[in-house]
Amino acid sequence: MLISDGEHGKGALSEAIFKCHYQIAFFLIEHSANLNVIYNSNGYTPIHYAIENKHYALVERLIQAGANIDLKSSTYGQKLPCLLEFAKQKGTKKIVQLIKETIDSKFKPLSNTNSSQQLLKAVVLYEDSASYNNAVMNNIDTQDEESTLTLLDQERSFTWKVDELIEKKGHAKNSNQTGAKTLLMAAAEKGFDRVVEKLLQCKAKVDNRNPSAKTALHFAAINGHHKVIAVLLQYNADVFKRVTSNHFHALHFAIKEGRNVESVKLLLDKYPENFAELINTPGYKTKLGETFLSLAQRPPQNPDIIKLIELKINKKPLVLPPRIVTHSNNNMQQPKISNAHPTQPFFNITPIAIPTFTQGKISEPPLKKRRLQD
Amino acid sequence: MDDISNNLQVSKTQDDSPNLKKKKRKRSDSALQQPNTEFIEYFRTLQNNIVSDEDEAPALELANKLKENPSWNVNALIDQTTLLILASKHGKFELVKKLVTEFGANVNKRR
Repeated sequence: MLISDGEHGKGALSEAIFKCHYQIAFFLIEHSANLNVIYNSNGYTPIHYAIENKHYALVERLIQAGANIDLKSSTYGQKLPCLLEFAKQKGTKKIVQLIKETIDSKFKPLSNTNSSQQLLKAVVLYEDSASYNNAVMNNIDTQDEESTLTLLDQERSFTWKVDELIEKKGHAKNSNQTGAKTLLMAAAEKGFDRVVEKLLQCKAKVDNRNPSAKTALHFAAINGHHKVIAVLLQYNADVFKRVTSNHFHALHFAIKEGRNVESVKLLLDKYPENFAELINTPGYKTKLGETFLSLAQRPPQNPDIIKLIELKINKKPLVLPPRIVTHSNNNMQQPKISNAHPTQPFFNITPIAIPTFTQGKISEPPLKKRRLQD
Repeated sequence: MDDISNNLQVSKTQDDSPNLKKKKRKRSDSALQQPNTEFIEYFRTLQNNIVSDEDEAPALELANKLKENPSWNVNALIDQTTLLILASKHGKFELVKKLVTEFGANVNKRR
């Protein structure tokens, strides 16, 4: 004789569905049977049994009565796929459609944007790290920073491999940007500084390299995202990492890219005081033997970048002197003072507010114009 | 006796502890409550009826005996099953209905 209260086996509802006694199942649902009770040996809930028996009406009734369609059991997460996948494997097309529609309607009120809905669905549909990473990566590709942050805030029941390299097939618009990337690299490439910071807070490795030995810092430098560079440097990104193909540091890329003076300044700041002695050493030169200065002197030159490198060589503070900008309009002969390069439009070269970091969060200081200096 | 009074004093000093103790005692009491031999024999007979007999009438008739013996626990787990689980498993709809609506069988009791 065994009298037990501690076992977690099938209840009346699961037994009735398992044995195809549907009239009893409907009756028990009406009488508040627990719809999400998990059977210990296989992780099935009543809806799993209903799907396995291909009983559409019962699946529909269970969903209507509140059966959990995104039930994530930590014990069975590895054994059992998510419910939609389970339905694809064991149910009918009609049942799969029903579950898809339910997921659609369930997540409609949560977000205003279509992409966010898709992402929230992705979290429910995909319970494995790789699929989740792909969902985040797709979102980064769609240039949507807000919904990427929303997705990153979702609870993940799986062990998230945040540093996984993701290969984007058929995404070869620019030869510099092809190849596998981590989420951190993709976010750095797009200039999503908040996403970058969030990923770093989620323990993403700042100096992880892709097959061409590029780090997130390289991607940020190539694309001139100085805010991302600032975040990465805050998390101690290594500025001396070199790319296999051309031996470029992130600074080489920033100099070659030539548009973002602020990026060059931030990176240059991390180089040691004896920069002048090291600039001609093999470790600082590109594969073709170019120094930082010779790279900056390549056309089209940016005099501000050349000036910054010269200041660093001369061990002077990296502050650019003001420039005089003359307007082409004859009626406005009065010169204006600016620290920008004359070939660039005024709004591009106003001093950029460098983010400051307080307790892991970025806060933007108010923009202040630089004072006139010699 | 002294030990008991000491325990009571300790429990009074904590806000929720008397309620918790009551709940715990209730649970452990029901868990420890052994179904009597008479009920076990009855359970076995009904079990045989449910399992082997296609006709539900004898099982329904037998179920009425629960009314006559209010001390019997309709939710008792015997051999890791209850009367409701047995009836559900073997498709005895009328019996399931009777157990739930008339005898208040717990629909969420698990093996």
